[in-house]
Amino acid sequence: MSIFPSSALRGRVLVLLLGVLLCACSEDHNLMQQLTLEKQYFTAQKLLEKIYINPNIADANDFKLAIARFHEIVKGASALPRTEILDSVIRGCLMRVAQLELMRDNVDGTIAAYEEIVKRDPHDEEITIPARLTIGLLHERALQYGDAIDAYSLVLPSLSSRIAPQDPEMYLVAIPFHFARMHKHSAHAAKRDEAYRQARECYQTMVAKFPNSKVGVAAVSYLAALLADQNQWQAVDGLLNQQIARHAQSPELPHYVYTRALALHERLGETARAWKMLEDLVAKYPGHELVPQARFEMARMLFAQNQNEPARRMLKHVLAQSKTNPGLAARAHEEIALSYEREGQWNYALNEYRWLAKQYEIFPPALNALLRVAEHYVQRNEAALAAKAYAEAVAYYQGLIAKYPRSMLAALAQEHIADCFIAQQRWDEAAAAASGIESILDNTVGKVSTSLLLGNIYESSGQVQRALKVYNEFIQRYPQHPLVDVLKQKVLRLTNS
Amino acid sequence: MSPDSKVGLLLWSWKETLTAARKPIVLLPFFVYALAQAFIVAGLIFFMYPPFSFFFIPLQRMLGGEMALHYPNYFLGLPQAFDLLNLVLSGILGIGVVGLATVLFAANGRHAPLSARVKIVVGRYGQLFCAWAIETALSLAVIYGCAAWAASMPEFDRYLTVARVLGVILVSALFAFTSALIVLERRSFPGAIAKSLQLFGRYGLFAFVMIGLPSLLQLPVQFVLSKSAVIVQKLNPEIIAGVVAAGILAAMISNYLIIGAITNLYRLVAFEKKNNPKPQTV
Repeated sequence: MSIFPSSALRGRVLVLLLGVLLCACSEDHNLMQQLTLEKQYFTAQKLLEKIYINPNIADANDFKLAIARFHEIVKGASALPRTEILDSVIRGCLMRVAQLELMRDNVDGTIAAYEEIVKRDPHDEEITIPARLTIGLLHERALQYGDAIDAYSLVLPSLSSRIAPQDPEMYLVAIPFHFARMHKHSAHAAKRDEAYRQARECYQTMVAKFPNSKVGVAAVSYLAALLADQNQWQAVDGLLNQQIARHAQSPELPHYVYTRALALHERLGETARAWKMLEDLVAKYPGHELVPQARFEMARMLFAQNQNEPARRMLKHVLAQSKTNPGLAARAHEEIALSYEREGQWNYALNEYRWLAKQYEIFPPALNALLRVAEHYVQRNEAALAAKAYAEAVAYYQGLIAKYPRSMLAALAQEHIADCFIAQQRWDEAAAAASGIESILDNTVGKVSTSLLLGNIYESSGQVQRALKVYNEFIQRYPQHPLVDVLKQKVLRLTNS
Repeated sequence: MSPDSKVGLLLWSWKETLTAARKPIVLLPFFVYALAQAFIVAGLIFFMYPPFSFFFIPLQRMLGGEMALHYPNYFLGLPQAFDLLNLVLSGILGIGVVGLATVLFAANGRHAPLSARVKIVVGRYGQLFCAWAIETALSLAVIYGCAAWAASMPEFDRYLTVARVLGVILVSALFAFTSALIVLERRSFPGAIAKSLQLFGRYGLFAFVMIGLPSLLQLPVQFVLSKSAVIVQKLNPEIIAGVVAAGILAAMISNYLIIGAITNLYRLVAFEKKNNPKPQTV
């Protein structure tokens, strides 16, 4: 007996079964391609991990291969209908391309990857703001200040929404300041003022939005720095005074008091008020981290009043409190040495300078110490001693370069070698030393330092054609650098002369 | 090797079990079950390809959400998904496989058409299912109870893991003879459970060792699978599929040894005593 009573029913069941079979055998091409891409993405990430584990071992081909894989995935994913997952895969790939490009010092490649990210989701602020900020930072690093300004100006209005008040990414808080600073040397006063105004507005928003937070404190500092940049010292004082009144019970109060005292002393000439404020700070917060710095500033005030002995006593106090702050200790030794030099107690000064150079070699006062010794002999017309001191300084800097190769300190030491030769008018050796900076620091900072110093050397030694060549090359190479306007004027002056 | 001593009884049961493998028909239920398990693993891995996609895409989505449909998440979730589906499979096919294997071991090589034996098992399916449901519920209670304790007392985690393994073996030992009693003696599931508990009172230690020792075969697999996240991230996600497949093989061997040994023990102490002469000693 058949299970189907009629052939019609049997036919329907057969059609139904065929339909089910067809459904079961139909492929979802998009899903399969998406999964293939996801697998490729996973494998490419493994490649990236290998590079991350030891970037120094990874060779150029590893980077090239990983970047090519990620680009391939982006291409494949772009051809499929958009889904949330595919979008995140594409974004992830581009982010990783950017990281890899950055690791192999290809700033243009990194910028291109971030620009692609922005291009894909131009209206998603969660994505575009950090990407644009990074683009800005990268342009800034490459000294393409015009492009950096363009990138920053797009994010400034919504910057405060990207900042977490208690655990902020401090580079974000610094952006408006960078933005304004890039206009500092601009020839267009109106444009410059507008940039500073925009940056101030940003910080005012942050201060209002996050009054009692790390961001608020940082924003006030940047605001003060912006005002200081424009020589608006009264406004700086007013701002800090306002913060002191507002934060009477806040742990941030000593920072505001200290900054205001500095502004009063250094810029507004109100040393007595500044002294009183620092004295109160030291008495009220004896264990605060700022106390040694406050004492250091008080000692400088005493030096300014020629009270050398009490100032040195105070600095000895600072030295005793600065076991964990060698930078401040180095500055204290420098001030002590300078005070002995001013008093004519050269032997004591010399001892301090030598001690400073020996003990604090990685800090700027130590770099200047031996140069200062040589300059002392030059001022006293003691040519033989000066020559010996310069030779000693050059040997010291060469020692630092050997000890800290390819570092910023080595580049600064190399610059000091050039300075030693400049002071002795040994121009060829000075030029050679200046050229050495970019071989130590193989980046834009090194290249710019070399160019500017070389230009100066050629200019000072009367080699006008060489100076013009260096300046023109610089203008051509870094058209967005803030010093370009100044250099253009120099070129004009040198050409006319 | 004599079943007269306690150790001899154990060794005799395993020897009989291994000897039974000479007749490939005894292995058939285990192969069928392993094949069904392999099909599930294949479906969970190749869910994007037809014909699996029709059934396994919605199933993956149901088990692990939308994220389970992405690489390498479906490898990461494979052990859990497989465990769940294997539990369902054991409720549908597994009990039949155990029943058929019990009948085949009890036949001790006596010839009878396979269809007749399958018919016996099908006829007892309802009773087998009820006994399985109770045993599974108890096992799950032990597993989840220990997990809950471990969560509230993390310092005893190691001891509770051991307690969980021993607890599951104990539950299996308590129910060890139910299948044999249901399919061979045609008892109802409450009667079979009662009798199994009674037999456990006399042969509990044997049953515990007969179940516990072969189960150790699965421990390495379980250990490796507990490190799934590390395998996926640091090695290769596809390794998980290989380990699950190795688990299927290990389970097949251990199930063969457990069911064989338990049936032989039962045959000796309860069934053969009445109907057959005492087994030959070696």
